[in-house]
Order: sequence, then structure tokens, then C-alpha cells
Amino acid sequence: MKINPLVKNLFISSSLLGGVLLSQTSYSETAVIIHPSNNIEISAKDIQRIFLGKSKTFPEGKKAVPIDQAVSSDTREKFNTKILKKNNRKLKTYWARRVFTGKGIPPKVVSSPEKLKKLVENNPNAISYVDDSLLDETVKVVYRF
Amino acid sequence: MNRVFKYWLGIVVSGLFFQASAYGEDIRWSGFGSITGGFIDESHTFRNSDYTEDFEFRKDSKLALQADMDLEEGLSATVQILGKGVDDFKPKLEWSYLSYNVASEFTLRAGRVRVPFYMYSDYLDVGYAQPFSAPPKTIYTVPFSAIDGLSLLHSTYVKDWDILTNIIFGSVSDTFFTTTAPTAGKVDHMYGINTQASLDWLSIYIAYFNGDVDIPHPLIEANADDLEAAGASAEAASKLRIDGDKGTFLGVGFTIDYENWIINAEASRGEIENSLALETKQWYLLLGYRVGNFQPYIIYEEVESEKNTSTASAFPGFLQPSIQAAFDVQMFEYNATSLGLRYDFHSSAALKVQYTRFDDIVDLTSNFGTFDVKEDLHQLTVGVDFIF
Repeated sequence: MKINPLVKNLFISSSLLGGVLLSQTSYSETAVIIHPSNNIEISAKDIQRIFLGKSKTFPEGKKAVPIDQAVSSDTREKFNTKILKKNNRKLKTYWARRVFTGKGIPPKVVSSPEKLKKLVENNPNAISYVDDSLLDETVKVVYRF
Repeated sequence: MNRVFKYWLGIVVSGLFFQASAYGEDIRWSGFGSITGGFIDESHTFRNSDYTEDFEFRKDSKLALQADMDLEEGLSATVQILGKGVDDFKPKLEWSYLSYNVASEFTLRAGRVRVPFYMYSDYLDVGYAQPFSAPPKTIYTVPFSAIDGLSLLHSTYVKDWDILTNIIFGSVSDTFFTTTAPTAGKVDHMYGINTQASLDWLSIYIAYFNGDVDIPHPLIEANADDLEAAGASAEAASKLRIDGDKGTFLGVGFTIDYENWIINAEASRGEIENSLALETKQWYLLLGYRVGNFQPYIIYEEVESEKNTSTASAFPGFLQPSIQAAFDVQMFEYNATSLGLRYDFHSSAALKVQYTRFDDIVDLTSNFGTFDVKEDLHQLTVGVDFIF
């Protein structure tokens, strides 16, 4: 069957366009990042324990310095839900209990994701999370969600 | 650990803070507080509430300021100053200790440390971090909450379970029985462990503590002196005195925080051997449900003392009745039912209203052992807990 060449062109163009549009709207991932020199394997559970202050080191023993994004950040909310498995209220209560009993203090907070990424670039002990749109070869990704 | 050591540790830690702030080092300030008031329906001889018929704000109100300082190399210092409404908010040093990361899983703390008797013992004063208006009285009435000594924390995990263990060692000198007969006493060679295993939604613990208790309670001393005068040996009379006797405590509990449900239960028993103090058993159950920023809850709690029939038999026959009477007159048993509501009206503050009905089952002391009247008491508390 012969397809009208115009229709065929239109079909191909709209498919291509659709394909482009589709990749534009595909949801962005969040990446947990560490210093490029840090050669470790880490699970979601390990990341959870570090950010909840239950572990002060990476799995193989090196000191870990977790850095959080601002409380208002959507990325942080995603991190809290997916990795920490606590909502804001539970997290606040959790830290109130730890702080006021001297068991530890919450991770340092850096509002600007760019500044945060710079901190991870320059500190071999740092671990944090950013939207994958900010990724480049200056940091290493150890987990995505 | 004695007073001199505690005093100097306080000086050293405070000194470190002053020096650090002079050099502009990182000190993290935080704090918490409660403004709580309450009243009871009418004064009874059954006294299970600290409140009176007149609504007043002081009893459970408090304000605390804490400073945490990272001294690098795994060492940190913590100071917490707490002012209680009952003391006119006079600031007292609540915590003052150094914390050191011995290894990745171990943290050693030295100074004045809390004894983790119960789930909320560690943060007894932080109302914001608790679901109820005040910790259930039946359970949270241990005569002291902190010791001067060491606390070793161990944190590990097995599969999805986080295991946190706290081992303490030390002593405490304090004034006991402050409301009825303030007596200076001490607990020496205290040691114990609290192990807690947690999943995301469940946490269970078991705790055991042991110490040598020395509290020369005036009434007990008077009883013992009378007995010696009546012919009992000093050794026999010592069976009544709280003079270096072994005190033991055993507790278990769990908390479930699943979706919108919260279920807490704790149970314990405590005793001081070879003394006139009776063994007690207590427990409570809390059920709460979260609806938006509201969390209504109910609590049922029970406490009772155990009858002691063995000590009297160690005395000569003619003394036995009066000794048995000295034990029996202390018997008590009551339960309480509470209905409360927590409202998180702000991300750092919560309003709590709680009604409690105390039911007196056995209370011989308040009626001087003459007769046992079944009473009940109604209490209402309102307050705001906050952190900053």
C-alpha cells in the first residue's frame, strides 16, 4: 500500500517530536554523591544510617560527613521519604531525641545545591545528594533514586 | 565518680566552651521548653497528682538551653542547663559531659549521664519529643534520673534492625523523697544496660540496672532504732534500713509508629533488698492515632507494691507483728486512665491537653494504715511543648 509521502513525513516528524518531548518530561533522578577518590560500595541502608547519625563512618571504616539540603528543598523531601523513611515531623522528633540526649546532632545544612556539590568535590569524607541535572565528573555517584 | 570530680569536669567543660566561643569555633545552640499547667478536682488524701485545685503553671513548666561543641578528633562536649518551674526556673547544670568516639561503633561519655531506665528516660524533660502530656506517673517515678559516671554507647545493625546499647557505670548523690521526707542519700557502684532494637516502625528494649542504695529515710531509721531498743540485733535492724542494700531494676517496652498509629507499652519492676522498701511492679499502654496535625491518645497505667512476708519472720516472735505492720502500711496500688490530644500547631511546637482519672485501689499510707478508702482523682493539664 502506498502511503501518501506527505502523511509519511508528518508521521515521522511527529514521532521524532514525540520522542524529544518524552525525554524532556522524563522525571529527574536524585543522586547520592561522594568525593571521586572515595572507592566505596554503599547501600541505601548505609546511607540512611549515616544521615540519621547512627553511623559515623562509611561501610569500610572511613569517617563520613553527611550534608543535607535545606528543609524546604523538594530533593531533600524526596531523600527523607525514600532513604530515611521518615516524614518531616518524625525526623524532627527523631533529632530532638538525639540532640537533647547528647547522642548526636543533625547533619550540616547547605542551602545552595551548587555550594553543596562544591563541598563534596573538596572533601574526601563528604556525602550528600543532588538532583542529577547538577552532576558532572567532579563528584562520584554511589546511589540513585 | 564523686562530687569533686563532677565539679571539676563541669569547670573543664565550661572552660572549653568559653575558650571556643572566644576563638569563634562552632558551637551549636539548641533548647526546649514546656509551659504546662493543671489542676485537680478536689484535694484528696489520695495524693497522686502534684497539682492542686487551683490551676497553676509552674509544676511541669521548664526551659532548657544546650550547647554542643565539636572538639575534633572524635571528641565533643555537651552542656545542658535546665530551669524548672518548681525551682523558679533557677538554671541548674543538667548535663555536662565529654563524648569521645572510641571506635566507629562506640562512643564513650563521661560526666553526668542519664540512666536509660525507660523509653523516654533519656529525654524525660523534652515534652515535644513525647506523645503524652507527661510521662505516665506509675512508671516514670524512679527517684533519680542521672548518675555521675560513664556511659558507653554501641551502635550496630543486623539486617534491617538497628541495635543501640547503652551501658552505664557510676554513682549518684542526691536528695530523695523530696515531696514527703527529703533525705540525702546515694546509690553507689551502679551499673546497667539498656539494649534497644529498632526497625523503621518498631522499637523494643530491655533494661537492667543494679546499684548499692544508701538512703537513711527518717521513718525507716526511726523504725529500725525502735527495734534495736526493743531488743533486736543491729544486724536484724539492718534488714529494714536502706543501708548499702542492693537495688535492682528490670524493664521492657516497645513502641510502634506505623502509618498513623502509635502504640507504646512499658513494664518494669524494682526493689531494694533487705530493706523496708517494698518491691513494685508497674506498666502502661498508650494508643494514639494521627489525623493531620492532631493526635488523640488514650493511656491506661497500673502500679502496685508486692506484699513482703519474709523479712518479719527473721525477727524474734514478739517483734514480728509490728515489723509486718511496718511493711503492710506502705502497700499501695492504683491505676489511671487518660484521654489526651496533641496538636502540632507549629513545626516546632505542640499543644497538649490531657485528662487523667486516677483510681485508688490500695493506699494505706495516706490514711495512716487505719482504713483503706477507695478514692478517685480527676486531673486536667494543658500545655505547650517546644524546641528551638
